[in-house]
Amino acid sequence: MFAEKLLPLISSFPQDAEALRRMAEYLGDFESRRGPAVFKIRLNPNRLFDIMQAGSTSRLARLVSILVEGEIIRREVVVRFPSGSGITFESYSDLPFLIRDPDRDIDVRVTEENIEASYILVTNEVS
Amino acid sequence: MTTPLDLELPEAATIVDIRILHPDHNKTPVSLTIKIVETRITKTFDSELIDHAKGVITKKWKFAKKRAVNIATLDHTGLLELRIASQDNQTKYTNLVKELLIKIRKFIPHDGFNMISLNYAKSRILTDRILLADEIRYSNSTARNDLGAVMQISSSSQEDNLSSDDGSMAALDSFLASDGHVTGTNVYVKIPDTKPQRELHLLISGEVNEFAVPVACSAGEYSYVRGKVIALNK
Amino acid sequence: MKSVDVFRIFNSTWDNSYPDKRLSQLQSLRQTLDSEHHEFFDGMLDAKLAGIQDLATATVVILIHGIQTDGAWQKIVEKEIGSLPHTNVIGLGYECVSPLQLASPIRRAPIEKIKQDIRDARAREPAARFMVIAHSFGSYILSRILPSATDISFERIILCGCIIPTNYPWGHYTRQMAPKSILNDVGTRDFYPVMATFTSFGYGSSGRKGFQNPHIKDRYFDYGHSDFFVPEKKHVETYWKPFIKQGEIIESKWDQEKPKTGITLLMLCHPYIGRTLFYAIIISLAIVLTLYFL
Repeated sequence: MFAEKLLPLISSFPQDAEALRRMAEYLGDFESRRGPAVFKIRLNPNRLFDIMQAGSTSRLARLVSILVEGEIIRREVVVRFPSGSGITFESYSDLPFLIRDPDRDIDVRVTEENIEASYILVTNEVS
Repeated sequence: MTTPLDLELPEAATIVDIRILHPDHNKTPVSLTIKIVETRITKTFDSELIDHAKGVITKKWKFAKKRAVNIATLDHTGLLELRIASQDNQTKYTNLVKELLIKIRKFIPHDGFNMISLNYAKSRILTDRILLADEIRYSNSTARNDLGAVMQISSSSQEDNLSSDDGSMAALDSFLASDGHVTGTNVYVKIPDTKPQRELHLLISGEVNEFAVPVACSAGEYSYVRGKVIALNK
Repeated sequence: MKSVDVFRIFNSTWDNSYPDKRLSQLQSLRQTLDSEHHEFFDGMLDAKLAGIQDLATATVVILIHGIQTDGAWQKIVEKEIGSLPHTNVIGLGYECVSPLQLASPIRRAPIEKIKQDIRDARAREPAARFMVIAHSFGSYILSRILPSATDISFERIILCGCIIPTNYPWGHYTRQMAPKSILNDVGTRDFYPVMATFTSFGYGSSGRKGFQNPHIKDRYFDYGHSDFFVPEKKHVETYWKPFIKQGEIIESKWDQEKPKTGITLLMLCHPYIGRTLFYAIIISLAIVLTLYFL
């Protein structure tokens, strides 16, 4: 089960163990209900905040950094278009100034309003 | 303030009235209300001049000044409500909220206040839509699931009731049942005892503690809608 | 640079930038930070862009341990209290304090360290409700912080194995706290607070006798000094969790069943009588031994 990957982190970070345990329970529950679809999970910060019950932005940032450095999740930065679709980038530093909206075929400025982070699970598969 | 100020278009946001509602002097005051008037600038596109020789396009906008009234009310339960005049071409109110809080902080310090999330009301409006059918007409919803998919479903026009479309509702219910969550809700609240039936547009999206009533309405109607949102959030 | 400094500088840059320049300014700031802070910084940006705000119900529970321990009990409390929604449990540590240091007047270093740690925790979660659980010397540290650091306050306090003097002016330093917000869990088999009282200065027997004052709720248990953390007793789950969660005070049956405190113990608990007796005995023993070996 993917959730087992969190066990070493739960031991290494006792102060955050309960929050990490909640993440493990969420992943375990998802995998037991939907099987391999767990590897397609894509969560946004709001969802992670609710799952882990972070309580504050600084605590969420800390928990995200533990999960990213622990190679449980990986961050992608999505430029979201009005249609709902988006284009992903590996980090904030990769974001361009202008981007082509593929649905409307027009150039769109990349701003705070249309950027969001999303997190996907780190798997061993080569993408 | 003993005499409210009468300002049309002040240069800076100005507190024009402060009132304490204290009907029974043997009990704690019911509420403290602060009214702030500000001038907002709205831009409208006027013309465009193309200079082919220089390869320059010059765009001109006209601007107009508009009076906006914002109100901060602190009630005896400790609930602080900030009512901000709606903007013409912007959906983000974060900066206006911040400026309003700074303006009133001499009378209502910000320390000790925390935001109340309306996420529960957002979900309940959908999940209890059958129970709420006599009180709320459903217009559109946005939802997101844990695989990153986004669903947006709306009635064909603002006058229609989406919840009478079984197919749409079934699609939304199915989406939510597979690890989906409501992220925004757009409904019409039916005002009771009105003939013809009056409905007030209610948007619950934006910040977690924000809702919008983007129409002109009476104080009583607003109070009814506000009460509905608070009741649904419990 | 600590993570709290990164937090501060991030928020300052976010608040003081124009929205259209913000991202580029934050990216420039990120370049100046050590790589160990990059993920935390990115996490902060994720949260800000998503519009996440600190919750009104977020709670931070600070744990301050006693001497000659690295606070192993903190893991037990972290697990139990950390299971509450949106609750962050922070175990604070300091360099091991020996009984000799405890008896001496040199106690400043741990107090300053814990004070700064609490300030840092508050800076990171300014909207959260702060509560504290202090055991043994940790209770003494708390009692030294409250008078000097007026910026530090708690919504609820739990004391156990407490060595704060029974005449500590709680009303003076906890004016902003609601009634029944301070619990003192007393172990009626706990001799350490008594020993701390008569062997040194500045300590008291509140962890054995109770404060018996209107600002504090004393609760008595048939425990030794650290029995609060014995897993089988489920003390944290039964008595502390409801108090942290909703301020509920679960009464202890031992309050009614506990035996009367004997006169000898009462004398030892008295700061003047107990100390005088103890040092009289020590000096007498020293004289006898000196005469014997001479």
